[in-house]
Amino acid sequence: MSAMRVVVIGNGIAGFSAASTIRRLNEQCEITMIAREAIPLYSACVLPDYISGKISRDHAFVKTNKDYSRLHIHTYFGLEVKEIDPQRRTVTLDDRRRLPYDRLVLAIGSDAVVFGEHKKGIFKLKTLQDADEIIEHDGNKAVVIGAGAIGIEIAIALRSRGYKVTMVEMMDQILPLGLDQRGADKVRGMLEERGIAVLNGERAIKTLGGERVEGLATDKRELECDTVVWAVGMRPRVELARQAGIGIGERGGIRVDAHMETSTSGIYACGDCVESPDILTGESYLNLFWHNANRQGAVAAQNCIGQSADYPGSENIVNLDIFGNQVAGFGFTEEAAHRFQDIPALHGTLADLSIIEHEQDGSYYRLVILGDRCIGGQFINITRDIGMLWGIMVKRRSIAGLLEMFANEALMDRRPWLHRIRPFFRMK
Amino acid sequence: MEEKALVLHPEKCTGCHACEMICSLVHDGECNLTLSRIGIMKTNGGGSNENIPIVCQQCHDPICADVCVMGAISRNEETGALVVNEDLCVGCKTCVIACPLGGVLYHHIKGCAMKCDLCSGDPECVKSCLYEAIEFLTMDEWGRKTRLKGAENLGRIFEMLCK
Amino acid sequence: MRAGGYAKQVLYIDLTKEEIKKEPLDLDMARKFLGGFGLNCKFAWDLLDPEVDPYSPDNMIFMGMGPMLGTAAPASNKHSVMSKWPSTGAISPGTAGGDFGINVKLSGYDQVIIKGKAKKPVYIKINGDDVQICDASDLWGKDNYETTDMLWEKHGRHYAVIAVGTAGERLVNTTICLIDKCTSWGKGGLPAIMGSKNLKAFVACGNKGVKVADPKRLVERTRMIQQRFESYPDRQKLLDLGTMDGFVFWADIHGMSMNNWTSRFPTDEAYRLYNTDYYLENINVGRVSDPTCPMGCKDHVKVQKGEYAGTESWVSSFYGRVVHMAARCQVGSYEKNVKAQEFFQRTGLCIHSYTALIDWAVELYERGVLTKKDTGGIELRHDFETTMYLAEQADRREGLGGILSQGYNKAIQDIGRGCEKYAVHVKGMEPLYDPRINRVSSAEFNQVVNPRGAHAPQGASTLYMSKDADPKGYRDWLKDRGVPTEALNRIFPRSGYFNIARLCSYAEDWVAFMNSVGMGCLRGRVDNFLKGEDWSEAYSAVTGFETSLAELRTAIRRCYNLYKALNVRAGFSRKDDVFPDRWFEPLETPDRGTMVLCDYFGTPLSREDCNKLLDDYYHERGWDIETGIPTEETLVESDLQDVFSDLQKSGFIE
Repeated sequence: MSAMRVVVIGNGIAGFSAASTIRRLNEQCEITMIAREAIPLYSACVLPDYISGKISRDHAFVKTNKDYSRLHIHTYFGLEVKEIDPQRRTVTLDDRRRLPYDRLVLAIGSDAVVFGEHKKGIFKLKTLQDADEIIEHDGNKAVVIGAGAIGIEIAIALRSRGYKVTMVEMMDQILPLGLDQRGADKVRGMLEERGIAVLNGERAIKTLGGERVEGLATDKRELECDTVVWAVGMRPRVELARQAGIGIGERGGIRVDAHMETSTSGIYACGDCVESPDILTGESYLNLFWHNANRQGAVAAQNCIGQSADYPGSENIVNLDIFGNQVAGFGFTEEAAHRFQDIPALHGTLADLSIIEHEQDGSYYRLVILGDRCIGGQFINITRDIGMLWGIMVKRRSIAGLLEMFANEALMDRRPWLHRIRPFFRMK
Repeated sequence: MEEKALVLHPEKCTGCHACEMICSLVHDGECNLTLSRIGIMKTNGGGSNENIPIVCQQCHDPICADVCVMGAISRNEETGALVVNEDLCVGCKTCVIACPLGGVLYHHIKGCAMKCDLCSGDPECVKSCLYEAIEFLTMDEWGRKTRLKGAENLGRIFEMLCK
Repeated sequence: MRAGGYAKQVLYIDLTKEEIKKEPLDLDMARKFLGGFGLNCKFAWDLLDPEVDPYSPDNMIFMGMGPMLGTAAPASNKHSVMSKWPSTGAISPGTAGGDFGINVKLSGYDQVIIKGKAKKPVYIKINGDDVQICDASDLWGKDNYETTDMLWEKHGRHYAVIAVGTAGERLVNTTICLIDKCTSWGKGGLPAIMGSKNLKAFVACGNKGVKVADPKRLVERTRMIQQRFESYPDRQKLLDLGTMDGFVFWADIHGMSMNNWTSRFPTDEAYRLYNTDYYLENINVGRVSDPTCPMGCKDHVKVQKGEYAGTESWVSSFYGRVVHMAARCQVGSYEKNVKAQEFFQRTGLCIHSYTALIDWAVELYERGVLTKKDTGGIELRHDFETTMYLAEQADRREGLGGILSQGYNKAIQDIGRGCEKYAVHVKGMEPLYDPRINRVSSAEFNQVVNPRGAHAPQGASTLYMSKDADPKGYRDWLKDRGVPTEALNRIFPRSGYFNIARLCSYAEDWVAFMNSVGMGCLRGRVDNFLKGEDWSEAYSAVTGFETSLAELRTAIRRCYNLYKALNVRAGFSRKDDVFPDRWFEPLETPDRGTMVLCDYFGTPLSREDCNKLLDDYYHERGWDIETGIPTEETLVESDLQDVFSDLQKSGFIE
């Protein structure tokens, strides 16, 4: 029998993780990778650092072309797939070439959401090219729309390029997915202290100006600016899959099972283009993070070549450096717990919601506890031992059980590592 | 190379910091508790029943490597250690936050992640711990020792029951 | 080569002015006085008024972190404090291991110098460049354990804490500070000095490094030393027992006396009560080690059963603590012993000092010098109840306990009635070793000449050599530590004999040296595993200053001369180096008959003989035999011309 042919569409972390995992597990497979961008894998997460000048453009690259040849991955870079034919098991490229496959991995990623017509001076930040364009752009007054993690990182990067920066956020707080109000206000303070204006509860209506952007109209005012960056979110790229008759989920991502296989047998999907179960609730959700994509790629790869592996679920971890302050959050915020109160897997009602929070010497943390389980945490200037809290959350440990253990010396002697998270629960 | 791990025995750790001092000395040329890849966490008065040594366990399925947006953490096939490629690392600390063991730290001088690299296969901390609280064992040895300890415990329980 | 070891910075804290200053350390001066104890002497000489009242805001606290402190070298943890002690009036050092010193050093300071008096209770926080004087109102009135717990709660357990107990707040001077609830520091009244400054505690966490000039060389030397420890056959036994190996190895030889120096300890009962099996099964629950110490000998003890179950204590030199409680207070069971210790630890009372005063008071009561009128109606006995009663009084500084708690010098004045006849002390501090039992060996002799008072460890370098050992061992030890041949010839003038007074001066030097560079320890026999060359090698590797053992020895001789000069200026001279009367009285023992003061070879010593030994000691040190004051020649030879001129100007030297 001839070697299995695997085609991977996409060269983000999910695609690369899939391709390299297949190669690690199987030396015979024929691996082909098709990608729009004609460059090796780079980290989109560090693009703000590239814009701010903290790292060089080269530094953003995770792999070199050599890595692909070393792994014997045939690359069709700079090309786009026009069509997938699941019956004949082929993909057609935009230069009309047709490639056969035995297994197909879709790792086509997501697009930044942008509204309105394009003008000079309006940007998004998703690809290296986007970053290059922002750097080439000659402006000094920017408005960033959206104050999620990416919006904040862009604002900080522009600020360090000397821009006067204003952030516009529809919600009443910044970082709505990562922090609750109190933590968000602290972060907002850190931003304002360094000269970034933050407008909460304000909706962007339209950009102003002609060929070149001259301002942004919100529902409350008009902001004069020469630069606008959209950072309101990412949308899975699913058109190609939809056309091939592959099932799309309620959240707008490609639907996959625990093996990362799509509704079409032999076609797998991973990364930003899929929706995946949340590790805490099991509900399908768009957790578009690097580490999830990385793991999904590996799981898809294993199943691709016939080694069964299950994807445990996606984790959302936000981690930001705000002018030297470390801000991290995972799981549900209190606010999110209200929003998702109907999810049965949360095992509790809002009546059971309690908060542990503590502030000292510039550090702050907040644990969200629903019933008897920790469902989320927010941390400012605390980095150590968060991972262990996260582990406890994912393992769904009972808080009462933990507290009992903390109080019992004999039990603690056998689990000394628990001493490390004891302070979080305000225990000695 | 056969998989080996640093096996920690908290009950033997007297909290003397020798491992931390030698670790930072061989890696950074200075003695500095904040630059040590291995760490002792003390509780209360710091007796041998109260200290917890912490070091990277070179996980089989490492979360630090998964979350690294630069793919900067990879396994050294020769030593089995997960090592940080300092040229790639951008110092975002996500690995520090994600590790449930507290095994990855942040090198505040170099501005990058730092973790145990098993000293190229001959860990200095093991040699410096005169209380035998750190051992460098193959999985086989570790398993055998764990069983032996279990057997001793059983023996003790049996003895108690017989009384 | 880059220079290492020294952090090159001195931290000045003025509590009155609430002022924090950081100044560079003069490296030439540092090399001249090594660091730690030596540099403390230098700073004290330059900055401290010798006649200052110990409780005055002008009294200063000097903390010295030597160049080796906070490195990977084995047992590099000794930090030294110096101040004018209220119990004796001497300007003298105290030494500790524990995590505090390394954290100050790792914060980037070689010396910390504190003066003034805070308006309200404060504590000092040191975290690298961040040094703060913080409010301690909520800590005032809390005992050592509570204070430490509260500070850990506030700053995190990675901070090392020095706390002052409740007794220290009330300026009780037979007190001691605790580092992390365990390591004791500053016998003679450091807590009282801190109390007088409204200074409740220090917390420190080091976030910098100690640079090492030649890391490879240090790693090699460290490994070499560590291997010596590892290959020692009885190592595990020593680790299991900690200092309690004393009951196996030393108690018999280095016996203390009891009943205020009138009978011998340990008694058979003590051996029965404090046997090592019982200790291992029911008392010890863990071992605590000082930074990089290969022989962690400190104890975490916890009473397992009975009335005092749950009583917990972390102690350095547990053996010492147990035998003091046992010999001087005769508190009874192990559990009561630990209970009493815990009370002392919490309040900050010094177990060594205050038990001696209790012992003395019981004799005074038995002789009718003290009556129930003095005691508040109770009978004073050698038992647990009396001990706790007097200790509680001392903590509150009231009644008889309150009088005793101020140490011999003050208590003798306050009680009067000829009580001094029964007080066994030198310069106001109680001796530990009874030379009638172990004969006059180095540690015993040092109790008389130590400028600090009768504090034993300074001369104890050779403590662990049994009296029946071949004197050649002493000679080898001294030679290894770089003592020059002509001095060896003076110490060992003929075969089968040596002069303990002359030897003692070098033993003292060695302890002072270890406390200066911040490496090495007598306890846990650590010193026995180290060779002289280890220090010169390690010092050179760490600092980058290639220095021979002989050069180090010259430096420490200089420091010790300066230490003596400090106390000469404070009014001390030969008249204060007095062998206590009681040592000349015979000691009756049930098993060994009558024991009298004699030299190493068993020849009885009269007071005249002892005075001759003092002559030899001063001569060996190059101090004036009549006055005990360093001579011009000695000071000039030590490159201390300025010290000489000062002493001459003040009329101490003609």
